[in-house]
Amino acid sequence: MQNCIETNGLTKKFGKKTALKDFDLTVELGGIHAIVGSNGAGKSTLFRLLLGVTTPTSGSAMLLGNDCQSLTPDVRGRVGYVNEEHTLPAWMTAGSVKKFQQSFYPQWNENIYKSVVGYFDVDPKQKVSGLSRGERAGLNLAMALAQSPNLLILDEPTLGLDVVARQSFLEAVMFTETEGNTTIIYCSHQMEEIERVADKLIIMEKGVLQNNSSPDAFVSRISYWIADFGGKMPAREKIPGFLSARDIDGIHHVMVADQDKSFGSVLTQLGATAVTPNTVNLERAVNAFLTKNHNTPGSINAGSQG
Amino acid sequence: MFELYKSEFSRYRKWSLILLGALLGVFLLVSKLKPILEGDALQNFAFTAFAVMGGLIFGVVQMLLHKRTNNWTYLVHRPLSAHKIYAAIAGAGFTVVFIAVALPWWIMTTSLDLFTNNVVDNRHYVYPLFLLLTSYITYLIGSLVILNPNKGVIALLIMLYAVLAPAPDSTLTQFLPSLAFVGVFLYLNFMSFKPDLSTHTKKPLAIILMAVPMSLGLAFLLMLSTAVFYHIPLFILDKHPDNHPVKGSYSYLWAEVTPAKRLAYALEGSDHPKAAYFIKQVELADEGYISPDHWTFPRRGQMYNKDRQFALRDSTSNTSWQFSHDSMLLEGRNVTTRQRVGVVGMNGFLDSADLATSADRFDEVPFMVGDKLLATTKVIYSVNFADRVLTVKFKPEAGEYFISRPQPNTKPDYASVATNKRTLIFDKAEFFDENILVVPEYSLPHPVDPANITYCWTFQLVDGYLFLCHGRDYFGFGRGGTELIHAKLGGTMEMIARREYTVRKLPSWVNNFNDIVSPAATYLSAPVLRWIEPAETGNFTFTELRAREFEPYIYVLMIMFQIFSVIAAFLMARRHSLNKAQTATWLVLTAALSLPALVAFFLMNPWRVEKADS
Amino acid sequence: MSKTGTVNIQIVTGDARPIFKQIVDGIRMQIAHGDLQTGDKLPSVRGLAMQLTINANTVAKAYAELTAQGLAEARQGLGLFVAEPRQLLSEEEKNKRLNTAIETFVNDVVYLQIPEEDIKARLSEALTKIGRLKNTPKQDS
Repeated sequence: MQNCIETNGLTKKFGKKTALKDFDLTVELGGIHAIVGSNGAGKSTLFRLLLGVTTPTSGSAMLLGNDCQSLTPDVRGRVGYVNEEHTLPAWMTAGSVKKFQQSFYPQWNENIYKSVVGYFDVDPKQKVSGLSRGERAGLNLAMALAQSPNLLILDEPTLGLDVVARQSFLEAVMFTETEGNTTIIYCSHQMEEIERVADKLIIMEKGVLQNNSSPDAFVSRISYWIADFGGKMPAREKIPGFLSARDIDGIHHVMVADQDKSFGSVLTQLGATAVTPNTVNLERAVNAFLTKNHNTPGSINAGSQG
Repeated sequence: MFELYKSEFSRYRKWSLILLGALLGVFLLVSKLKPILEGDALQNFAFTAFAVMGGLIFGVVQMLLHKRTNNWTYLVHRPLSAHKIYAAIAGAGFTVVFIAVALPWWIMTTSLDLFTNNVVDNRHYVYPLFLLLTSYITYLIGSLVILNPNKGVIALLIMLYAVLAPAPDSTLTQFLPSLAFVGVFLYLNFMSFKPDLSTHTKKPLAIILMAVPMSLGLAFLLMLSTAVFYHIPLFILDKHPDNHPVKGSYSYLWAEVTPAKRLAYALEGSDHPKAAYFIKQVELADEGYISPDHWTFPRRGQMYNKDRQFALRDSTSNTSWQFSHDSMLLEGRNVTTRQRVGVVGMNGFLDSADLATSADRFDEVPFMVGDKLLATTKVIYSVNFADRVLTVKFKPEAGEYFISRPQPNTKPDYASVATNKRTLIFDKAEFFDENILVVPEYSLPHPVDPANITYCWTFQLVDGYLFLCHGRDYFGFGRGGTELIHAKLGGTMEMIARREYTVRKLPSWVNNFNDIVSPAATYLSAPVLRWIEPAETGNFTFTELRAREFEPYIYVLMIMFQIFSVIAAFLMARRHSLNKAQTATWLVLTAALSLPALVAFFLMNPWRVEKADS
Repeated sequence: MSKTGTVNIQIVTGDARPIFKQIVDGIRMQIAHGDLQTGDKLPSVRGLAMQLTINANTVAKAYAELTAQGLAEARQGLGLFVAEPRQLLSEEEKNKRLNTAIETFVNDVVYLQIPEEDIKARLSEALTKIGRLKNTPKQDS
């Protein structure tokens, strides 16, 4: 079966800086795939590569089975892209922007447009520059969905939206049924949104793919242990799957990846007494992953850390 | 595509209409002060600058607004090919330039034509087209600067020289270069408009079309670079020949401040018996100038901004006489009432243009001198407005025609004009003020090709004139010289002395630096400019270029630079892993254009060679 | 004619339990408390997803789990209904779950320092109450 997105060894360097490194990502058709990663993790670079506006240093990227370096107008017509600014011709009225956009997409679905834009209070006579952030996001999403794309990339679409607009936006994304049976790539920093919308969770960190599975499967990869090393923790290199550790009141709280129940005995062998396993939620699991290689001060043996 | 065009245009519609209105306002204001179709220097400069800068700025701004990461993705990521998207953008840009730059002129010209009694010729409708093309050229360069990763494309602005500087010889030479530039720059923009703007053009044709005009600009910059490593250091060390004139050089003429000393310098080494006498005479003589060099005469249908003089004015009858290129007649108007007061044809005054036969119409556009002279290349007329009589003032012999315009001189008073064969000197009052046929007082056959003569100093003696003619290329390319001629009362001529200045003020490599870095650049530009304006003899033809002779080491330098450029381009092409077609293109370019093409290579390829880790 | 039961549960994001687990737990609790009764129709997958503003696939996953646990049963073309109470879990699984529950319970009550007899009495009282509710289902309306 054809994959929605497929990258092989995708690498992008800007001078000496590597934005994306040997990136092998496969996104199957259907469902909502959330992408998380801290700022600078390479998400924007990935999207730019996928849309063909940047050339990879090496490797390849495919969108709906087409090489991203030579996307035809036809393929572009089947891929929607919504960025965090909701870039639209600000000088036009909402109504004329809609007509403008509609002219490019023969498969335009007016019912979808109406039902989505109905979530938001968009006056067609209003200039786009005069719309609120939420209205603008709504208009943009309505048009993106009405294009009935096979793939819709949403890049932090709810950034700066208030609670009501955010709620409407999520509902529209999740419950609008398009003819294209749209696969959605949803990039966000909001763990709450991710938890609600994601079928698959893709985690990027420093240009490297860290995870591509269901959120539940991801959370189950992470375990959280509270161990008493008597004040001095062993070097992190000795702890398998180490993600992060914190020293709270002399007791160490250790987060590890891909370890089963026998990890308790590993800790005991390393000199810990009173080892207790604990559960962890999605947000903490993701954070642990995203910060694992960051040399945050006090990640080890710091008395208190927020 | 049309929708995108509409959307893009609607973004600038308001601004272009504001500019349209503002320009019409300016026209109204200017027309209160002077005839708006009078092409004086300030007006010409103002509107040309507006077209050039306006186009450039608009091109840059329009593309910059699209180039921001999110806007760019929004623009490019739609079911339209990149070519169609750019066509829509460039089409909208054209419409904006049209409305803001050309349309106001057409509206104004049409209104003048329909509702006033002004002379409005077809050529007045052509001028806005010139503005439109000029503005669109800079617009295209502006957008290319933003779209192309090679920021050196700004050097393409040098092409404007060919559009703005010359007084073109025909409608073809007027518009063909502009149209060619629009075509080439449009093509380059189309090639540069691709989803990933950071990638460089790989097509050989695009490389050539960009590198060649860029190289001409770069050759000019390289020539200016002598300032950095020659002129400025020598000025700082206080050793520059401008401050320390080199004796024996042509330019030393200007180091001698008094005419007598200058004459003495020109006479150095002369064994003429009267040399000392002339030097003594010149000490008291008045000094004048005559330039026998070619002058560009007006052509039929030339743009109004190339007109030297708007009209002949006669204060007694309160009339103003403009030459109409459509009727080829000098048409008179009462200044106050704007009523038509007759026309002047080749055979004299007529009461109305309707009475003119083809024999009455001028066969070439005369130019106006002062208040009453009309001159073509064949006849100089004087117009007597009071008696309504046209007099032939002077007519050269058969096969002879004027190459310069009549020049008045004060101290001493005389009038001069050059034909293709000689320089003529007339009594000034007779020539400019009286309506009679005049006879030259002196007639000086050109000692050398007038194109080689920069100008001649004249000194009035008791028994005639001394002409000290000089030129940087007087005796041929790079062979500066002077020639002293004594024109005696009664018409006899005596050549007193010739001197060639073999000492060079500047070393040859500085003087001919542009030829050293790129011999081909001169060959590409000068003959084209000469083709556009043939009277501009400073731009050598192909034959004249070939006839030039340099010092031997200049040829060695030329060849060394050329070989160096080719080798460097070859090595750089290997380093950038260019394909065979690209490498071959660059080798041909550097072999042809030498150093500027090598500089173009660096500008048109990424500075850093990026290789993926294995 | 069966009524569509009202699922009255709250989803908490940021919880250690995944959302689908929260739905399973919530519905199971409502069945246990009798808010949902045998034969009640559960909301459609899409309906519940919209109600909770979550991905429909998550609801589908929860419904699958409920079906697997025997708490709900699908009727062809009609939807999902609260099932007759029956046990689909293996003895081993049942034992495991009981052990976990007891462990949690004991952990929670041990520090309360309530006499063991009182705890046992209260526990048995609670079990009796739930048992009575489950054994005397209301009539379908």
